[in-house]
Amino acid sequence: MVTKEEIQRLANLIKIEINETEKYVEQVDKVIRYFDTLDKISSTEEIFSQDLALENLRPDEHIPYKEKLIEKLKNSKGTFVKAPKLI
Amino acid sequence: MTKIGLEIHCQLTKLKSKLFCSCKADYRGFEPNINICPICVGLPGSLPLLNKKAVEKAAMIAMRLGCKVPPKIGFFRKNYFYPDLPKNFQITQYNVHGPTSIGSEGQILIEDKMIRISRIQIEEDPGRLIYEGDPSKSLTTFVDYNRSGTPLVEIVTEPDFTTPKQVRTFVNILSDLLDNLGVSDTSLEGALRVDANVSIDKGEKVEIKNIGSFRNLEKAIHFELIRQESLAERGMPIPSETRQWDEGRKITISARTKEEEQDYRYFPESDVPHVLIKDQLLEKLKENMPESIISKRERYVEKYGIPNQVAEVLSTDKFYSDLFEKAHNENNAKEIANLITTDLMGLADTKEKRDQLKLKPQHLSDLADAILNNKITRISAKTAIHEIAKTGKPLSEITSELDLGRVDDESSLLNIIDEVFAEEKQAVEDAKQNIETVNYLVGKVMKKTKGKANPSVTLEIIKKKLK
Amino acid sequence: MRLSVSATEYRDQIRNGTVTVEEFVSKTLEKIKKVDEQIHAFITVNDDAINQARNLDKKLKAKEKVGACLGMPISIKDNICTKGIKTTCASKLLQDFVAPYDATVISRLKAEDAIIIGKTNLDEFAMGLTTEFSCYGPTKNPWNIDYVPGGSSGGSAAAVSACESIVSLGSDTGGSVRNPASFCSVFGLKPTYGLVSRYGLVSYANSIEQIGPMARTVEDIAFLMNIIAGQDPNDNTTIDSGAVDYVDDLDVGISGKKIGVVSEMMGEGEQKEVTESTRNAISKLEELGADCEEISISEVLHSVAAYYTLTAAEASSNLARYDNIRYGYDFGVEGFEFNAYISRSRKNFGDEVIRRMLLGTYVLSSGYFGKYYMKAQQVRSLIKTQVERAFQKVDLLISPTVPSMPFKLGEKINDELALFRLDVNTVTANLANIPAISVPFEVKNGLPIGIQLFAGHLQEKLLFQAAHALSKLTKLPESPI
Repeated sequence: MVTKEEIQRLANLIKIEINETEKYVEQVDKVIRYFDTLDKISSTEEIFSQDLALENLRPDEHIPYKEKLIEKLKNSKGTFVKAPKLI
Repeated sequence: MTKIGLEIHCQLTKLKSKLFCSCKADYRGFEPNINICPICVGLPGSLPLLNKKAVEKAAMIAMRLGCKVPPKIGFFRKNYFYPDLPKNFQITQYNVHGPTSIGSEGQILIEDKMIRISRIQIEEDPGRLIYEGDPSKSLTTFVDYNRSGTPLVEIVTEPDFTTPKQVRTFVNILSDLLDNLGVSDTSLEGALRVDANVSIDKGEKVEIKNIGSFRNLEKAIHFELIRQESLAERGMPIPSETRQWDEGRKITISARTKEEEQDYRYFPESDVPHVLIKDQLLEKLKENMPESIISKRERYVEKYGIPNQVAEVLSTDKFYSDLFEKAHNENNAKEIANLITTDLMGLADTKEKRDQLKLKPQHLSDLADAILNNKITRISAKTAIHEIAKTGKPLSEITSELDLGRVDDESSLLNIIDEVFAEEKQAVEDAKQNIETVNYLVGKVMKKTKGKANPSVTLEIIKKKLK
Repeated sequence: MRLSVSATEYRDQIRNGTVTVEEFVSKTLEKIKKVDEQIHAFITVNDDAINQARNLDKKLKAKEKVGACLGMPISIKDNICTKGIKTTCASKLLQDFVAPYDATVISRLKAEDAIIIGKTNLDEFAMGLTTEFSCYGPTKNPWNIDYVPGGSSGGSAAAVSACESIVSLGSDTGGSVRNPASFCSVFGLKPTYGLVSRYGLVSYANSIEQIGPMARTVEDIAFLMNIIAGQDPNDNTTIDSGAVDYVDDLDVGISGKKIGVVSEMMGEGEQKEVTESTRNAISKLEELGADCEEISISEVLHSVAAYYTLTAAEASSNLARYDNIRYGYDFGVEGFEFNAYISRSRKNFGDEVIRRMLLGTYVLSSGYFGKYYMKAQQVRSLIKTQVERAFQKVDLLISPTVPSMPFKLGEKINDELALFRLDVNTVTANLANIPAISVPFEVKNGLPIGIQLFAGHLQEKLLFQAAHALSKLTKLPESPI
């Protein structure tokens, strides 16, 4: 059973303020129980991955971005982005 | 037993572009948020495009540190929120599900002690936070993303160090090695950053972060060891924690433990496919790697007969060895080594001086040839180097401007020697009694000629006159 | 002038001069104005469309070179970045976001002179299959506005079905193109992973999703793929598919082709009408000379659990960047501590998004990673292997697109597991990286039913030929709106 504390911990990890913890406890628990069917699988299957040869990676070139991107972002104090401080 | 392990972050400053985009890798000197694009500020819809050279340079570092480079490398996301991290995850490498980082299980010999390298991984640097006024008072912070996405290589050692001094030696050797490989200019501020894990017998592992310069590294570890030992003596526990180095007070302080338990939730970054590194390619990289410091030193000693100590200085500093390599030929090698390690050193011992230095390899080879062909004295050569460093003018011009050509002909020397004999009667008498004191007179002649007199000819004439 | 023309017909008419781009575009805008209040397919309509149409008419008149789309109005799901037009993902956190760049698919369409008529509604960040989870309110099914249009590309499907655009681009993570295509009686393709660039597609589950075209004919799907498919230096996951013309030889038929009927996607738990319809399609394909046989892909039974585990995990990380600091909505940072500020900002995600991010965080967190995330990856690999094995025996696979007919708005909104079951036939293509298309096949009681065809990795051409053959057997009415 997923607990209230667990939901709170998850919400803290992804930084979302949630008020109705109980609601999420119930919903998340229901889905996790559904996911439990996965745990029954015993597989040694190698995990599939997409591959790319080193030769085909992006060559190391400096190409400045064509626009002043900062003007499209929230900005202040010259060309800085303002953020709340981590205490 | 004291155990110290290191986590070293080295920026690949020699690359032209960032790890996942085409912005400039060396972000220094830009106004804030100018060296940015949708990828390195994590705009919705942007995708990382891995820099080929970054993988190659990281592979070179791994090979030089004796690491295994796997045939396939992969990237992971490290998930955490931080104001300087635009995607709120960092693309890095991770070795839990098989070795997928660029290097693992290496080792390097430091003064008869083998230091094991557990892994080397490629990752992106975050942006930078700037505070207005007193950071503890202001409530907002300003973010500059120019650094965001700069290619980093993280080198993680096993806890094989037992003293702070070993750590310093290691970091010195490592930074020379990285400079010599041509992957990084470690003298740039922030290009090489070191965190240390320190533990003693009776305690848990403590991580020290934020050690600004390597000079502080030794101090920080030293302080931490004393702190842990004094806790142990008093029978107090040493908990596992992260501590910050406080530059002002020269102590380590506990980083806030209020921060909830970290859980980085590493999982594969599928926007970057696994990269296949063929054996042939690795071999080719290895072949094209710059010669190692050790091999350079041996070559200098064996091939050119350069004294061991001189060769040591010359080979460890890439700036000097590059100059040497470009300037020397078989005949003048030893003389050039001499010029670099005696006359040039004081003129190029800081980054600022190096940046301003006008001296080119050609100057050194001209100068060495002039000395070897008796066109200029060693003393005059010193004067010439100073002038070249400042002006960059060719040696011939400087020789005539400063009148540094060697005075060889006996007649002009005779006049000067006569003057000296007239002025230094007592010394002439002394020299007649005791020939050992003759150097005083030679020195006077050198002084009058501003070092241009051929010392052996001068000595011959003086000896003749004394008889 | 008919708005219900196909892309091919539209191009003929423009070339013949029977209609001008401006006439067609303005008629389309009128239609949007008329019907969109009811069905709400669009979040943003492009104000500049008429100007662009006029410019193209001038070029056409002057016999200048004009790209293959000839000003064709196309709608774009609002999670695909369009320079200068808002890209909201139907989320409050991106309500003011204007991308400074075009997605690769958009720049390719623009290069062929397509006109973006507007941005279509979706479930927030494409998480859903009814288009009810949009912060702008739901889209309704043009066949009956009491019913959901499917999702998450419900706006695109509705817009194509209601002739508010000739074609559309959606995105398909677990059926998000095919499901609404089926519910709205249009064609919808989920291409092979890596065939279409994702550059400019706002990521939800990046290892799984693809942009896919939606249209009223197979030929139009093929036409769009000719434009948008192909390797892209801006997306390292795109693959080299060679030079394929998808429109050529569309009508070669399917005589002699082997088609596998996926047992796990037939009958059980399925609405009767849907099963009947599928059986009907199978027998018609056999009449055309195809050889149909039952085939089992046993891991389909675990596919939805694996799919949701992986997509939730990726979503929890992909959506972390929405912290309202560099872009987002107006909400000052003053007086807030970092964690407090972003937690407050991120509270504005919808419930469904928050729920999936909590789940994703759960399955990645230490202690559960091996139990859920890794197992889900293994299921994915198993499915891929089983699917590859199936394609050694058959050329194509067939199933109903969705095991159910369209249902009413609000009917399943609170039943997560009921919604999961609707994905069971579609997620396999996403997990196995193969292409699949939904073909409109029947309309029963005024509501559409779609049939799904799958082909092997990069076998889009074969897939289109089969879909074309199947669609020629049907004569479907136009949507009533």
